[in-house]
Amino acid sequence: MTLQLAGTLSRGDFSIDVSFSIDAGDTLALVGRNGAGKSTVLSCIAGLVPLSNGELVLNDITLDSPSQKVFIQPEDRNIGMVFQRLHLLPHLSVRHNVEFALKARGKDSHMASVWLERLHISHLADRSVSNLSGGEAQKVALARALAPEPPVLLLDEPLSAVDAESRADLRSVLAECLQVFGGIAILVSHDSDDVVSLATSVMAL
Amino acid sequence: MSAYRRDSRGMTLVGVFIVALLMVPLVGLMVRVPWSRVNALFSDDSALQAVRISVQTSLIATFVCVLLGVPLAWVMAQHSSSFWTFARAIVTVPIILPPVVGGIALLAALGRRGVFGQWLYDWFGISLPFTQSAVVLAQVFVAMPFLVLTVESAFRQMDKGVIDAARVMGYSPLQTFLLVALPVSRPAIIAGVVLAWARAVGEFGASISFAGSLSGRTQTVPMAVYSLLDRDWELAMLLSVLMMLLAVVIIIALRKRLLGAVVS
Repeated sequence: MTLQLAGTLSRGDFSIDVSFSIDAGDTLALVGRNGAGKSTVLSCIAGLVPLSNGELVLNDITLDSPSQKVFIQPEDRNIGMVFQRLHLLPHLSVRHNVEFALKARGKDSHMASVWLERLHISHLADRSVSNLSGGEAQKVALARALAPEPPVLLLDEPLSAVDAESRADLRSVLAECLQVFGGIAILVSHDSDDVVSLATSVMAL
Repeated sequence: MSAYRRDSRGMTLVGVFIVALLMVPLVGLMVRVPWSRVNALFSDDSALQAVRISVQTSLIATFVCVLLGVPLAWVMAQHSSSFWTFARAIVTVPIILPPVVGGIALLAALGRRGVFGQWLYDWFGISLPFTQSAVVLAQVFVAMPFLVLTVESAFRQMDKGVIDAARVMGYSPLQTFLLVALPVSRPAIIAGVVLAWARAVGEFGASISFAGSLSGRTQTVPMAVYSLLDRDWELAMLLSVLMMLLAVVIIIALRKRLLGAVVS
């Protein structure tokens, strides 16, 4: 399984040329200064920002190609994503947030408990997501992205909402998850410790 | 020593004074109302019919407003092109328009000889004016903007990222609207429903010109109060107080949701 992106991304006045290819089992870290377009690259892969030109291909399936007039909608891409600002569903409990992601892909919603267990947040299952600490919310977002077992996982600053103390703890949890994940993972971070301990390759933007 | 204050004492006093000013008509009504004649009100058939028609038509009108207004609010919140700016202006018109003018407009459009009404009559034998459907239509016309504008503003303020997240999870735009946008904006939708219902139940001008004030058929409480003014001034006051109490009960029952939605 391979994900290939080669093309130009534009958002307003901002535009960036990107080209990379990543295989299953690898975790690519995108690094660069603020505003370099790291998050835009993830949004493009997720289908939230279309390519201006070029091509995005996953396993011989073209997801986005303006010249071929192909654009697969986000819901049809089967991608898991942890957003920088998490975007948990505020009206649902922790468990229901994870179940919501499972149901979308037709997966058994009982798997939610398994993932909450794996991320050590079973005790929060019935808590409303608006009453969580930064680190707890981050774990919920992670569980939600991983539970449907997508072939591609996008992590936008997955440790940014966590204080320094719990950062190391969450980093090791995430490292475990990525080890067993086996799919394609792309990580955006500006913390060199995260990049060193999580990524298998690095690309600067 | 006093605790830290964000506002000035003077402004608080002005606020209290304005509240008192707003209460003047209510106090006047409550003092003058002839409580001893409450029985007469409850044995007045046309007054009771008016209450029934008011409840019936306003609930149907509110339902229609929700059914049409919430999806419209969602569409409007997604677009900012000049067409949708124009559409927003059109939706707002009934708020600015004197309700009587709204009623005349409805009559010109949907009356038996109206621009569209003549087809309804010629093709289907449907004549809208002076029916309960006309009351509902007039109420929908004046109440819709309150619902649409309240709900649209909530949709606009909503975290767009939550919508994006649902799409990436695998939900279609329609599913995202139904399963994410609606529940997340529930407090604002409830507030919009209450505002629209309140406007519908108080509707007078548009309905009296489009549906008439036919006792037992199209006469709602505000119309009954108006017609009682000639006949029995005391009963008119009693009916007004009944309507006011109804409003107070509803506001108290919904205050947490309503105020929560407005304040937060």
